[in-house]
Amino acid sequence: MIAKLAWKNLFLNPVMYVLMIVQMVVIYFIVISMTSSVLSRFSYYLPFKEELKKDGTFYSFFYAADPDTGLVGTTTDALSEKLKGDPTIAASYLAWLYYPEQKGERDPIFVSMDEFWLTVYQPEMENGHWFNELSRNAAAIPIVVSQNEEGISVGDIIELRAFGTEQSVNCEVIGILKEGARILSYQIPSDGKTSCKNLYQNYYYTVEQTPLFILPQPALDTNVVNTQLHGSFMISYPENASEQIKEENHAYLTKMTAHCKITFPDLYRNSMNYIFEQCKTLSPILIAVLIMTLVCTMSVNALSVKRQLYHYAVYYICGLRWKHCVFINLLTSLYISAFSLLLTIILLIGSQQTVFLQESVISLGIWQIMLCLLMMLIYLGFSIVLPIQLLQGITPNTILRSN
Amino acid sequence: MLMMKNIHKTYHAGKPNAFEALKGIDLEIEEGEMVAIIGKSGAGKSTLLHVIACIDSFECGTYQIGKLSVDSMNEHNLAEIRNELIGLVMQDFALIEDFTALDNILLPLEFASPKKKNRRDLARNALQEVGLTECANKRVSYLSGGQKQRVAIARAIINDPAVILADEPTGALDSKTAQEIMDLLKSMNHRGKTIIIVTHDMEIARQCDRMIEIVDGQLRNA
Repeated sequence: MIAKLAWKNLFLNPVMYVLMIVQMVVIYFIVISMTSSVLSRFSYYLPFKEELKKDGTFYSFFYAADPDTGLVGTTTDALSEKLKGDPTIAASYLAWLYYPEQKGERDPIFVSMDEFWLTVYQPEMENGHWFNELSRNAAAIPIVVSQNEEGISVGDIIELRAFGTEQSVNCEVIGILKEGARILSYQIPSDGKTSCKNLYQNYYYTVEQTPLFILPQPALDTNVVNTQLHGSFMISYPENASEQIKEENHAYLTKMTAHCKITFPDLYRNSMNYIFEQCKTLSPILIAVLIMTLVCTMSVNALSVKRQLYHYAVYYICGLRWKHCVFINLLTSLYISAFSLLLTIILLIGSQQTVFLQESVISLGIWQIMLCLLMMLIYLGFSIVLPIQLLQGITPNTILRSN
Repeated sequence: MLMMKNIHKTYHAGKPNAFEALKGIDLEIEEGEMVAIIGKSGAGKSTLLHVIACIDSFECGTYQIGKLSVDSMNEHNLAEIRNELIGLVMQDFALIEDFTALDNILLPLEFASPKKKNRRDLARNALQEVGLTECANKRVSYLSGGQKQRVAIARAIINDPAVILADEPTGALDSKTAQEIMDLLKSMNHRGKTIIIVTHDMEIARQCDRMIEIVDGQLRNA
């Protein structure tokens, strides 16, 4: 009966409840926007969270050459043998390939990456998917391509040629990067303040005019395709690695043109500083929004309860207790807040198809939903407290007379 | 049927603006009586009716309806009394304007425990008793004052209560409609219901079996 009356309440003041739903949708949207805004600052750091707990160093290479031979060909296995202290390394390379069917003026960039870089972060795709098959046993090497003028699309088998050997390398296009997708950068600045944010870049084909081809390094036959160390490189050491070994390795890597060096603790500290600075910038807005949200929630509730008091007084003289009236109010609020949340989610999903939201950081994830649910709980809390306060020590006759 | 002894009621007790509305009320009403409570504005007649209706509390004294002692009851039992033993008719009808007449009348049945199965039939019967069958599905906001008061009476009798309390039931009506409502209440009384009417209209009060005057919170047989 209480649930039925709460439902009926919604139709007693439809205009007011529509306005309340609009208000709640706005509140949820603000909460989702603010949460997305804060989370976007964390999103650079989170993929590297576990790695940065280790003892290691991040480098960035620029067309590296072997310091002993002067040759540019490098592989992860070969490099591992030359470095001391049994470190774990994750490298990215330029693959010496070309595309015979190139149509654009600029030569495509062929980037091959070790498994770590391919699995630590997945860029946004327009079509297809990111790498989940890194094996070199596949008939065609999986490849992800940026937007391009060549008309390459998902499912195409394309033939690449290796410089020097002129041998063919068959690749299957498994995904097309979204225009402006955030990818792990292969050109890292060396300003000493490098944070995890600097490990990424947004790739716009329309700006670069150069198609980007990303391949898994483990799938390449390095006897056929020459690869040159270039871009992001990570080295991490076992716990007992001495400082001397680290210095020797660093000296060797520096000779290979490593132009940016930052230790994991420094990268972690810089990343935290970045997040803290960003949150500090956002905090006045966050606090203002929080206060506004609370005020809105209270006013919406007060308005609703005030309107409903007359009905509650009628229910009371017909044999209901105030306690039940509070439950009716709670359920009415639950219907409104749940429907508003559903509407917000539908509107947001719909809006994400628009250009405006595609370019923004606003997204819908578990944290956004959790905070919306928290907001709903606050709203429901007020919808219990307010009628209790208003009905305390009041008689139904007083309410009926005042209406 | 209904017995009150030494009932005291003070508004804003303990505060500087405290006001004692009922000062030791002793009242006894027999089953099937039709009683008018009269008095000047502010004398305490509505307060007394609300205490009888269990919608307002009192500080001290004893109050019995039948064999039930109201003064020792908890909220749950008081709600049961309002639902089952007392039907209340208010001057301004106390109806939900956006509900239909039938939905308003159904309210006490919906709150009753256990729930009766033929609730809608009972509600239609109550509407028939007050002569409003054709208005069952009309929204209350579309009804006239007299019709609204009939709906309020139908709601008051739906659970077949022993006592019907009416607080200025004709106060918002013209004299012809007021008489129709009085006739309706009298017919309820003839069918055995105890009726207590609060009014300042002597014409209405004279139609009752007995008049009780309340002066400054104290009773006086008129």
